[in-house]
Amino acid sequence: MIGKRLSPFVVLLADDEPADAHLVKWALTENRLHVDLQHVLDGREALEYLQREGRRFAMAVRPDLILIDLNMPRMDGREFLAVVKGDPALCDIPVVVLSTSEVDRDVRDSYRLGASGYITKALDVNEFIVEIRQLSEYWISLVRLPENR
Amino acid sequence: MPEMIDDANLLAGLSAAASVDVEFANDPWKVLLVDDEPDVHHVLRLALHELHIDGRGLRLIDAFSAEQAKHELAAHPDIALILLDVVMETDRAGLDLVRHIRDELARRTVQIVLITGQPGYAPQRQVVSDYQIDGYLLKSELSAERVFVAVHSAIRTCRLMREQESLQADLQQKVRELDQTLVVLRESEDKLIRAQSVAHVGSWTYELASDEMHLSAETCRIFGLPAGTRGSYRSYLERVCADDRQAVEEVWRAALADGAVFQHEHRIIVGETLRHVRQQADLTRAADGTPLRCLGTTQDITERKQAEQELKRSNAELEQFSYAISHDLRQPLRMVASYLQLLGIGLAGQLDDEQREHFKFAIEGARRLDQMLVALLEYSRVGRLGEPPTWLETRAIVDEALLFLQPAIAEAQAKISVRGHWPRAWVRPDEILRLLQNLIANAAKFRVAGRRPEIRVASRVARAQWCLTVSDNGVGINRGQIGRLFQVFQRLQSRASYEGSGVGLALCRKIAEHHGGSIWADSPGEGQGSRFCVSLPLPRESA
Repeated sequence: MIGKRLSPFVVLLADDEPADAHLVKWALTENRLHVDLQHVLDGREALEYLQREGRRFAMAVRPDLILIDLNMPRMDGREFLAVVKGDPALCDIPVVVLSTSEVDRDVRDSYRLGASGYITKALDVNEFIVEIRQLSEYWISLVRLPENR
Repeated sequence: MPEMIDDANLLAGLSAAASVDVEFANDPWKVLLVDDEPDVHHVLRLALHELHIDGRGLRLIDAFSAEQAKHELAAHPDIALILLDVVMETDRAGLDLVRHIRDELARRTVQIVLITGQPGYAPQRQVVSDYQIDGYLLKSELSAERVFVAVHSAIRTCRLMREQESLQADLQQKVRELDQTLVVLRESEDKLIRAQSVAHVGSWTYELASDEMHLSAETCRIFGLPAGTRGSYRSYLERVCADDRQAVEEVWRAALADGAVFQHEHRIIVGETLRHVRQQADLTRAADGTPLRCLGTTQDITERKQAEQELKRSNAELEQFSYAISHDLRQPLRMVASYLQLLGIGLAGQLDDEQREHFKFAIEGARRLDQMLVALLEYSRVGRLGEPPTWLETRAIVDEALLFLQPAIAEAQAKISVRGHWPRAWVRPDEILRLLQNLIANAAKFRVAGRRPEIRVASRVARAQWCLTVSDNGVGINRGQIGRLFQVFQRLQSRASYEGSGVGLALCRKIAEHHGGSIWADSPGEGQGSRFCVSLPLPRESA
């Protein structure tokens, strides 16, 4: 219990756009959130990470939270959600969608596929910082709540 | 005879006409006596005294010259018999009169019996055939008996000929009528063929007992068959696209089992291509319910299907396009805006006021472009996505719009009044809400500084139209600018004084037009308020 409390909070971020990923990293830093951010480029890589495939991910740490973009090459966010939420070993990891899209269909599809949240990335960086802060605080405090024993 | 006239009505009509003719009179038979010798008249009158033929007496008319005979003939068109002397004014006066009667008067049924004293003047055989003479009497043989026989048989002949003539006239009339009917039939058949080819609708009949299918010319054309082709159930199915065959059979069997109509759309094979047809047919059943025959239409709906597919494709493309706008275009734009901001933050201490302003303009531009993309996306979605139309209490929509706009209304300290009759309307709720929101929000937004906004929202129903007006006491509209008001990204006010995406009124217009209605605006002039009117058709509510 104590060991878990002290270990850093691990976030797996899947986004094919380095500039976008960089903004997330920056927003986390701005919020003084000490998070172990693991960045992969698409859904396929995220899945390889989760299944510890290959030498690159052999030592991968199970994330406490997954952030994914919806539109990515090879395996997009929807396909990724379908696989993860259908896998008993992975389905309890919360997945939050981070997207530019405000299209109703994307939001509905994401929740239908089992997403735990849907965040429309703000154009204004200050707003984005707030979004990331609230998102992280919610999931970090939820995950770090002492267990009732 | 291979073909017989088998029309009971036709024959009945003919005999009726004939009997009328025979009956028409008990008038006496008119007999014209032409002879220059009064004695002959006398003899003939004696011989024909009180004579009746077929229940009718005789009326004798005397003429003593060929000339006089002509007058009598003109006066009595119904003379049945002429007893005619040959030699009168001239040796040939009688024969000339015969020619006159046959050729010029064209009287064919009048019987002519020649009476002559000198046989040499009228050689019997030649006269009979040349002049259509019906009998020949010698003056030397004018006994009562001979005259009776000659007159009797001539009158009888006349009667028969008249009957025949009348029958013939009737027949000709019937033939003319038939011809006309045929012409009309052919014309209407031509029209049907033309109509079928214009409408791409062919017709067919199907006899279940003989499994015979007769196709109209247009049906043959649709199926790419020579005109006059006949078919059967099997031969039809063979022309149906293999994937659709089972469905056709199922629908056909269901129609035979308990239906009155057969209706189905499927694809048929025409040469190397597939065409879409819509089949519709009525079943005729015997008293015990056994289906006997089927009368159907074949409509070529290939073009409609192609248009539908094209529409589907273009809708999908539009959907793809608007998704690209909402996501793919906004993504890099967000990078531009975000990193400009980051740069600005990082350089904060080193920038002078002007440079800070430049950063602000650049970021502001990106933000506006993003708003425009979102607005354009919304504009493209009107009538395409979103809620389907439903019956709606329009008053409830106004309240919803006002609730949504509460912060803006409070900020503007606007006074709002809602009045008039608010009907139930057949509309898309989200779109009408959007329309009302935009109009009321505009009224609150475009206010004159220092003047408290007064916004009147009114509704009425007139001539099956729902008329909605939103009027204000705001900045008004310059008359010359009203035309630009409803266009995308057109602004009549500077961005500095009034924020906005420039799509709001264009969106209102599109919503109104998608509901089959219209929107317009008027204003007494700048600074004098404006009024926006929306008129939407109000369909009759059933049940």
